[in-house]
Amino acid sequence: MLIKTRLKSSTELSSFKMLTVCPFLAVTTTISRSFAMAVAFAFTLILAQLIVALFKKHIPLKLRTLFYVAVTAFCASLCELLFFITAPFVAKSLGIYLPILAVSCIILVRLESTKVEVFGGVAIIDSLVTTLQMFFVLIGAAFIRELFGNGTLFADVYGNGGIIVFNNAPVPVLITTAGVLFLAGFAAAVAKVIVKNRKNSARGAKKY
Amino acid sequence: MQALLVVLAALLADNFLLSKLFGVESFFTASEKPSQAALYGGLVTGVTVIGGGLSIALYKLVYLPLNIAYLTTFSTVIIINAVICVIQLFSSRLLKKHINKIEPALPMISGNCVVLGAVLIAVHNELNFGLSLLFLLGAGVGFTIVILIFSSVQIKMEKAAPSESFRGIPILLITAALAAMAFSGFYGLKF
Repeated sequence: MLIKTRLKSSTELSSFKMLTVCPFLAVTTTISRSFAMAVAFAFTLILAQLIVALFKKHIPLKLRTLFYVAVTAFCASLCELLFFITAPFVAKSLGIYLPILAVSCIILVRLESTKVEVFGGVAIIDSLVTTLQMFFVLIGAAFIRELFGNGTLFADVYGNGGIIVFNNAPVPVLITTAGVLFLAGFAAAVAKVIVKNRKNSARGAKKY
Repeated sequence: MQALLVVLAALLADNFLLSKLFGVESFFTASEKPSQAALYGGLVTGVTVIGGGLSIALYKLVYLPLNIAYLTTFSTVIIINAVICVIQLFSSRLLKKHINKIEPALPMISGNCVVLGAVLIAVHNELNFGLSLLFLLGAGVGFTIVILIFSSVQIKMEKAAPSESFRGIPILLITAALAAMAFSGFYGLKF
């Protein structure tokens, strides 16, 4: 299961072409924190994509990029406010990385490819798929970082409590900024190998 | 003394790329040649200081007295994009020779976390206006330094020829991890 999650997450890392990795790499210190970030991402993406699907027809082509940026910023601000109202404890732990969703490249890229069909029905399915991919990446990375970097599982957003698996964390560097960059580097390498193998097997299938 | 500490912290200890992981994607998009990286870093610094300065002024003069600080994120994003549009307009009129280099870099800045992140951190730390401007300048220059370092690293990496699966993004990320470890040595420099 671990390998499966890891492989999936690494494939997504490469398929996203490393867009907007900044806030997502920084919040994966615990599973609960990255789950909160994933929920914030899902809320912002789905709302933004719905708004864009409804109004895209009426916006002139030249103003579309500005419109996407404004909608994303609006949705991210709304998400930040909702987090502060419903779960201020979590919002404070996410800190600066919650409003940073407003300049998220993934959201902007998804908005650009939004199709105006069936009153946003297609848009919602598309954003749900992106959200699921993001959940895999975030939870997978957080699982490895928390387990081997902190020695716990399911600790709260500040890294306290949870199930203690290792009394002394086996790889404490994983919890630091350098650790997450190492992890992302190795994940990207694994993803590259997987993509290459897939291409090779596809070519092999064509030959025979 | 505090001004010096603010600039040093933004430059080294709280380096936006290596300590806060803002704008990590710039490693792969902007740092192919040192000249290109310097141009991108300069543009980011310019947008950070001008757009960030305007946003912080708006926050201090309008939002704080009216108690509507929750609008900061939204307005900062809009101001950043307005500044980028103005730079595009000016460069298309005045710098016709360099427009081919400047124009592709501009849309990347609107998706760069450094500008918004610097403004929000300055607001969050309740720095006064002068110190905020210095912080924004330090953030931009720190970003440019790291981008420049990595553009040179990338050139060396091409000659070093790592194993095939690590070529490209993976080896750059691992180099960034080593650089982040080195930069964590400046951790004591806090304001």
